[in-house]
Amino acid sequence: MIQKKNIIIIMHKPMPGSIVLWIFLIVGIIIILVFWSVYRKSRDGSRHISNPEKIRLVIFLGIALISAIYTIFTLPKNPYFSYAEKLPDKVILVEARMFNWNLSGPVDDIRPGDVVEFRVTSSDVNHGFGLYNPEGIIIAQVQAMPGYENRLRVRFEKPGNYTILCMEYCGAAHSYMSGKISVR
Amino acid sequence: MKRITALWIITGLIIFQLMVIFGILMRLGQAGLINVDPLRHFQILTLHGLGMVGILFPLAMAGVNYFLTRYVNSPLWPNATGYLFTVIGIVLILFTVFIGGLHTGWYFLYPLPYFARTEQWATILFLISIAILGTGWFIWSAGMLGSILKRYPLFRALGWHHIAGITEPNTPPFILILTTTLIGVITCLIAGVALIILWIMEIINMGNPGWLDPLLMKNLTFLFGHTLVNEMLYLGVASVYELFPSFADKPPYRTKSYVAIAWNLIPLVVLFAYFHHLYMDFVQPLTFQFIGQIASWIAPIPAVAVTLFTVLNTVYGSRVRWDMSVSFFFLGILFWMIGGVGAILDATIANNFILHNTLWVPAHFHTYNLLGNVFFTCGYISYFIAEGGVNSRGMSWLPFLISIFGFGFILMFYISGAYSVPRRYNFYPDIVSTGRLLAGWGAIFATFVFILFALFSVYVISASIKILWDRGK
Repeated sequence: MIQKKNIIIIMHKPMPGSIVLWIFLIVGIIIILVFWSVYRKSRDGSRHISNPEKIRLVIFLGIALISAIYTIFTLPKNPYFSYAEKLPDKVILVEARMFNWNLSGPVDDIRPGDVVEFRVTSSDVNHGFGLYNPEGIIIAQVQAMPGYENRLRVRFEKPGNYTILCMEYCGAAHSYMSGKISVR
Repeated sequence: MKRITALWIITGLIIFQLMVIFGILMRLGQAGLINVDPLRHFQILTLHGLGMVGILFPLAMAGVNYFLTRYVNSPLWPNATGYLFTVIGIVLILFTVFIGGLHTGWYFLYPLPYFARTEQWATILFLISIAILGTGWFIWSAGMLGSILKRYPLFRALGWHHIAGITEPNTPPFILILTTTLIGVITCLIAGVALIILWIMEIINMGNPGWLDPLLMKNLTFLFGHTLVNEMLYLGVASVYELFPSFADKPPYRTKSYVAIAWNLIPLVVLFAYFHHLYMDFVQPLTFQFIGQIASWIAPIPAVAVTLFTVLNTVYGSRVRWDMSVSFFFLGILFWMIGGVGAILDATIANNFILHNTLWVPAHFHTYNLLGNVFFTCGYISYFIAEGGVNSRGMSWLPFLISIFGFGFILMFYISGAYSVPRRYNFYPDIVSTGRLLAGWGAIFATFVFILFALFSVYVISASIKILWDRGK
């Protein structure tokens, strides 16, 4: 139960993309510095690492450990179980069709704090249901695949106009396939 | 072998540059600086993706085929077949896109081709052209594998005796990596064959479209596509193992037990990594989703601990002749690693929830491809022309400059992705309008990259033409 609570907290606020970008940049800069320092020591032929196999083992174990810890912490934080322990406040059926979003259910009746379940499918090709907050940042997404129904649960925190964009290329008007959800 | 390699280099670089121009046109259109019709944009997108992999994969194959002559009687006619089939395949794709109006993206995700405004014949011709490319590459891969197996029994080529603790006879790392990679290539080409057969069955079954399972088709599409581009990179890595010791005047690398374990493991793990393309299909079995993340995270561990460390240990404290070839390889490995960081961040389900199909995806694969795979290819090309007597010691600034502008180009993708700008858009709506400005900067950086690659191309193509016509050798 405690674990499920964690899932709620995390998936309610997915890791912001800007933090992922910072992690990428910091690790990237570290890699560049390592390469730069090795390059600087590559001209005179005067040095060598005395025990490379030991260092290799340390690097291997270090990376394996970081990967294992990261995986253990991140695997439970997935969208498949979001808010799985409770009934959703609203259920909205989403049918994607080139190049529109057909929403049915209490679309005009979503309040801040509501957990909404979107049952997403497509009646033609693959689409992607991408939910953007009023600031233009994606807060949740799921694929819309013909013949299948994907269920996505989202809690709407703030009032405002949320935009739906298509997240799977679906043809010439893909970029224009948008919808609106108002939370008030 | 020299002449066909020279022919590959000339053809490959010309097609590559053409595809770069298409890429720049897309970024200019997304920035709103030029007006590109949406249909035209997605035709270019389709061509850019297919054309790039369609030429960079065989160009990487041509490199390893050339170096394979150092060990075995390297196959010539499968190479020539690969060339013929690649050229025919790419010409047919050009034809389907610009005459037939095909705009389904490289992945022709079932059942999009039925619904897109594409001529029926274009879809069929498109499948034929993919089949031609696949057949040519299959013959070529099988030919190379066959020539390796004539000299090295399979267990020795795969270094299994090293895993068992036996050190002699040593399997050269180049042979080991090439063998496992070729097996991986053949496996994903078989997935491609399955995909095309299913498509053909569907077309025959025209009265009843929607007969195939879209989830199965999506799995097959990415098993084929993702694995192929992944293996393409390992072809470049094989050349790294072959050439790097000589750059630092060191003896050739020997396969140790951990090298054999790593390179037996990597192609196997990579087969399961493609699952990360389906994280946002919640109906996919949950086990596959978790295997996807775990496989995506395991794959880079041996790459870092074995390949990266070996290369850095070779360079550190040595006397390296920093010519164009070694610079391209060294920087290629750097960006392979940086692209890997971008990739595994996206291959984490929790992150993928907000990054899936944003511009983060082209960000990471352009890091791998443009600055990784293309750099490995340029590295072996520089080495090849140096063997032909064209020295490039004064030109190591060129890979460095391409890296600076290339990274600028790619960074615009990463920032866009982090701020939720979706991929495969010809126009960014107001809600994601930051994408427009970043696309503009991306186009500027990419233009510099194009100019620098053009300099490189002029330099090496003129040298390759000399090799091509040098009948005496």
